[in-house]
Amino acid sequence: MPNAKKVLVVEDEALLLFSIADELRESGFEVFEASNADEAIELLQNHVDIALMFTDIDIPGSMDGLRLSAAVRDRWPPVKIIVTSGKARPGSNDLPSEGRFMSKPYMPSAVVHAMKEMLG
Amino acid sequence: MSGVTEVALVPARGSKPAFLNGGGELGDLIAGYDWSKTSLGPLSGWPGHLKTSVALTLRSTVPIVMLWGEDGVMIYNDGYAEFAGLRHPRSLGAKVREAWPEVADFNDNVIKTVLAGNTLSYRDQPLTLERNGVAEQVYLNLDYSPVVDEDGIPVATIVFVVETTQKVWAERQVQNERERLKQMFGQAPSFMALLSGPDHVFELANRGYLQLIGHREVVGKPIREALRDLGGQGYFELLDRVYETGEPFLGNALTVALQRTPDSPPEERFVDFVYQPIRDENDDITGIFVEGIDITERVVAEQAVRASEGQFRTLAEAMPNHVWTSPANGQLDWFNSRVYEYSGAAQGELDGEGWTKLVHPDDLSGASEAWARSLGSGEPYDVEFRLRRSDGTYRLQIARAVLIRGDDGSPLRWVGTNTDIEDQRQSYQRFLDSERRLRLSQNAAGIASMEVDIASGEIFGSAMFWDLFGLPQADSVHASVVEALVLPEDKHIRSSPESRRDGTAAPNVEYRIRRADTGEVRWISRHMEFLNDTEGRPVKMFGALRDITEQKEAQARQVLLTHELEHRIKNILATVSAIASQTLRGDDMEASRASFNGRLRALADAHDLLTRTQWTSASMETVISSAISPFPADQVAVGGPMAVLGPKRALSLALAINELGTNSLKYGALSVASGRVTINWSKESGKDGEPLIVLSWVESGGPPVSEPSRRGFGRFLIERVLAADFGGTVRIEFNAGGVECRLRAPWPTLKAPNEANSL
Repeated sequence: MPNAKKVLVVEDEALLLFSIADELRESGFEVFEASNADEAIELLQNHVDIALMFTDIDIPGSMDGLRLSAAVRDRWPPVKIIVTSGKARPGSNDLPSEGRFMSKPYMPSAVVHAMKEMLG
Repeated sequence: MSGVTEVALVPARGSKPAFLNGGGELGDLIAGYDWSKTSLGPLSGWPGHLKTSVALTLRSTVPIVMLWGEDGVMIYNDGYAEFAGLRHPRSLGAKVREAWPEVADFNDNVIKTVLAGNTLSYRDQPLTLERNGVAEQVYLNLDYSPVVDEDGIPVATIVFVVETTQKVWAERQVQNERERLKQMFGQAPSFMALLSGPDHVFELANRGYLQLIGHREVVGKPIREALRDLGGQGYFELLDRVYETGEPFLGNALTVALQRTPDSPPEERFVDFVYQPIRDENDDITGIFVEGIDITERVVAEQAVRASEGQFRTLAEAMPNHVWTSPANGQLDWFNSRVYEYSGAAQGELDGEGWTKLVHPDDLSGASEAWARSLGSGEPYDVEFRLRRSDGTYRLQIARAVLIRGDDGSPLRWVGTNTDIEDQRQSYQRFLDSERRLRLSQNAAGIASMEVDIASGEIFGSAMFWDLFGLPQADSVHASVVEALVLPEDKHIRSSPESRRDGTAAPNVEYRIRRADTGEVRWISRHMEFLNDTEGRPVKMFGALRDITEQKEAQARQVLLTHELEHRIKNILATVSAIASQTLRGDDMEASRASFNGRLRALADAHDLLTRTQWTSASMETVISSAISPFPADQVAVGGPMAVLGPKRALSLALAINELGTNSLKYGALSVASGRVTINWSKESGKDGEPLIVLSWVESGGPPVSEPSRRGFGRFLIERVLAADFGGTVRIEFNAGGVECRLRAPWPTLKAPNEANSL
């Protein structure tokens, strides 16, 4: 799939990770999967053309989704960011600038729509 | 005495001339004296007037001396001889100026005067004579007159001497006595006056009297004139009656209005006095002696005492307390009405020691001893005893009495009060009870109490207080000791000496301490209230403290649990949502619904298992048995060593078993009665010796199977999700004899790296 937009999904629940990743692939995205922040950073380093990161807030490892988003915003400013959580929406100070929030559970179609919107 | 001729003491016998006969001792001496050496010449040649004079002199009993001629030659009688003392007998025939040289001038004047024909007379004439060798003061009545010759020419001085020394001294004494009396009269503290005659003329008035009447001039005036202001008060009439009847009058504490200073209005005085009639030798009344004392000050003081006594009674009657009095002997003599109302006793019944009947028998000896002690020492009486009320109940009283002393310090009266403190006692008892209940309930509730004295910084704590901080039991300790136990990072939360003084300390706080004994960190909750003085400054801080460490931990667990529950529910919903979106996308809605229900049930069963262990773990065997239970159980064999799964793996495995079972029921071994499914797992070693789990699902006896053309959600769950959750690999083989599925993964531990946050 040439010219497919590359997106990164970070989710520690395998079922959820694979489900949304498959949905996104079916919608034409090239999807990278990570189950924690460390894997996500590694993928970003190896694939500089990742345009968007969709991450859960509650993920294991050295950073949660918010801190991961902050790190990404700092290191790869062009990468668009969507955070999701089953918990309450974080304060706007905790969200990365121009980041979006989607509450869990989400409709795969809503995620696809948001990504397409953000990536133009 | 020079010049006085020695004379023979023995008179010449038989030759005494006739005119000297009967002339006493001096007659004899004159007869024997040698007169020829004197200016008179020998006795035989004396002229008639000389002889006659001598005879007259010698026969007189009055002391007489004659001084003849200008020389004053002395001839005298026995009386004079006695007067002359030791000067006799040498002075006989001597010249008077030589015989009495100490009064020579006096006699010189006398002789000149009398020989000139005059007479002299002295009464009580003081003279200093040396009659007996020593100078003595004598008083004499002296009468000098001339003796004349036949021709009427004065030739001698005849002196009649009467010594009045004794009389003068007696008179002097009387005079002195009178002076003393007069002084006493004048200085007497009482007032005295002597009134004479029927008009009561003042003869005397002493200082006290003058003071009473304002120092007016009264002596010599009748009283009605001297003391007009006394008119109309009955005193003049009294005097008249005493004068008329001779009956003395005694007045006691009578009022008299008198001007104390001229022109001032009359002032009322109180006097005690007597009018005593004075009688002369004929028993006739000549005057009235007035004597008395001004008792105004005493009367006023007595009235003041009576007034103050009245005030005391009024006050005592108005008081709600029992009030009683006793003279210094301790025999109670007065009680106010409260006492009678309280006790129901009759007036007088409690007097003396009657009150003791009201005292509770158990308290009586103590009260009596204390009363006796106070009576002995004069120290205040202060006891508590129970006093019987008219209804027979005893109520606790506090009895106090103080001794009133006179100006001179002598004990006058005891004034006592009884105050009913039964209600206070009961409240205090209730307070003690409630305090005890509070303490017990505090102990039961684990609440410690403390009281901080803000000025001194001392903390007084309940027994629980010391336990709370791990300090040894004590009454009090300085606040700094307790403050030092608060963790430094919570120092700003606790109160400080400043915040206690200012009253700015937070009323309700929670802070951590390090226990003094074990060093254990504990959470303390402290509630506090200030007790302020009248100006609103805090003086005490009362606090209730509780160890809330367990509560804090429970809270933390609760937060974690709530957090976890929320996370889990959302994850379940997300899982269900994902399953739904994957399952319900086909055209065959009936088949989709059945699949969906089966998957939800597998999920729900696994949840049930996990719930039993508080969502911590489940054994491999129970997870598999539960997941396979909807399928024909007698065709399935489950076995393997004990292995424990965390929630994520348990759910993942349950879903995978459900998919395998569902597929087998549709197409595999479980679709025929002869088919069998064997589920086994075992522990093996990996390349590096790490423990591995190898789980296998093997079907047999079923219809021939072939690999499906499409990879559905079932394979997704088994091959990808199960493999990912176990961190291993899964292979499904569609062999001719039946489906075989194998999971090869690290031996599961409860805390897989990916599972840390899911617990």
